[in-house]
Amino acid sequence: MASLNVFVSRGIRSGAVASVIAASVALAGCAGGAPADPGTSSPAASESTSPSASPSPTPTPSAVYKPADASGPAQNVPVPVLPEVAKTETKEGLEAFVRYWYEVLDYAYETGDSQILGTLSEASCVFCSGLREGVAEAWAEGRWISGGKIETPAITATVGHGAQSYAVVQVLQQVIEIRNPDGSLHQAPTAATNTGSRAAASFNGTGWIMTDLGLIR
Amino acid sequence: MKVRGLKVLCVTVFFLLFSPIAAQADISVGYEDRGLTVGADQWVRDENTGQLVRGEPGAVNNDPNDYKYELQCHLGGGEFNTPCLSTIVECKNGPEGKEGIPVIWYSKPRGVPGAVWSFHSGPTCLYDAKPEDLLPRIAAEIQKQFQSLPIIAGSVVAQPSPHTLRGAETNFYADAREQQFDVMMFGQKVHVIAIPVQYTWNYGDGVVLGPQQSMGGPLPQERWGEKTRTSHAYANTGDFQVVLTTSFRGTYSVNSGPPLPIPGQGQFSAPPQTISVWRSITRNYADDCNQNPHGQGCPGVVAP
Repeated sequence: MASLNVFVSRGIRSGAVASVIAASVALAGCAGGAPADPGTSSPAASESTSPSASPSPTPTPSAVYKPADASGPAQNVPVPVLPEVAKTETKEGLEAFVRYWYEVLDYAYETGDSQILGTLSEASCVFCSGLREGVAEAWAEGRWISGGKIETPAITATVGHGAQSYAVVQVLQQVIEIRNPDGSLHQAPTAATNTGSRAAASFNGTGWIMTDLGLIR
Repeated sequence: MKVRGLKVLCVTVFFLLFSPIAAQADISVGYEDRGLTVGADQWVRDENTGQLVRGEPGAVNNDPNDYKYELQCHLGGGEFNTPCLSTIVECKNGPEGKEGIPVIWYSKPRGVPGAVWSFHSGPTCLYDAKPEDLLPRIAAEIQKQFQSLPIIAGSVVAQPSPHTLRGAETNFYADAREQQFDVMMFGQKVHVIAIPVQYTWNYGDGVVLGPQQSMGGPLPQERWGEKTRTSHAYANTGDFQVVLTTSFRGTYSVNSGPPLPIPGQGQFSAPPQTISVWRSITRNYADDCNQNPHGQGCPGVVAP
């Protein structure tokens, strides 16, 4: 369990996206046969848990997604997939991109890996970097996050065609718990939030990139 | 000598290793939290155009959310969530001995088209025969109630005082604080918090500063006479009545529900403060009063 975590975070820090995916595939295979983790060691548990909860493809068919709890971080978290429409400079495209961006943010909270989020956000986006740093701080020293699920039930995009393109987004986040390596709470849980955001993005010919993220107050 | 050096090194390493753990603060990890911590851009919906515009730095922020409540365990219509009913909160012994109804509060961000409601807080109790329209009734009255509260605008201090000099910068500052009140409205316990947000100085000589966001601050005596954001230089001598008017933003919460914004701001004035403006005349003399006992300023000499 613990050695698994160390391997994941190392892979993330040193490598590119591809290597991370490769690592998670390798891990998934590893986790399938290894009875190391007391939380999921029961084969009955993996059979009864339905993978249909996640819409995205899982790395291997045998890898069963398990959300984080006090006993350990989430396992076999599916990597969000960029929809084809998100590669077009249209209203639908921008909305799909923004939805994907928040799925990747959710993935970062759940895995501690914000590498992909970094590739989708310009360095000038202060809020974007701030979120990545927050995730890194929470996941440091063997800690993990449980909860913190992000959902975006309302997204409305305006494609600028010359002017700045942006989307107005509702961002729901569930209660966040940061767990110490021994499973205890690192700090008081962060309350659930329901927030309005303005997400500005630019289209570079092949895809969108987040340029500025703000709060609607 | 060598040993001592080694000891110091060991102590240093010890501190480097352990002091950051001892001084750990909470990690700001939540989406909204982090945005506020890193100073993400803030946008507000312009009431006239409906467009999102950048919030001006230091602008007075209103609550960004809308709120509503639902009866606890109520699914809409005549439907109730049966498992939930076992957790239902008892609302007995309300104000005036009334029985009440438990409600759950929901919030959603204003200014996001199609936003959905999410759980905010609760259950809390409402004590009314018709809880459905209780909030609109309170909302309609709360502003009048707010204006009639005994809110203290703050105390006014002038430096120097009560006398100052014509043409010199006199530093004025206020000491206004957040105030809390409990009032009864329609049989509910309503808790009001008033927060000072803007200040208007009427210096009494026809000059008015504000409304602006600075309540000013004290200057150490050796710096009296310096220009500050709230200082004023009187052009004439005389007695002037200085009046501070403080604008308060308020929130109210019904029976420990979420703090809801009170529309608009309440204006409250402090009692007038009199300041006497004097003139100063400087004369230079070559002698002291022993050499020239009839000189200006010497004992018994009448001023011109």
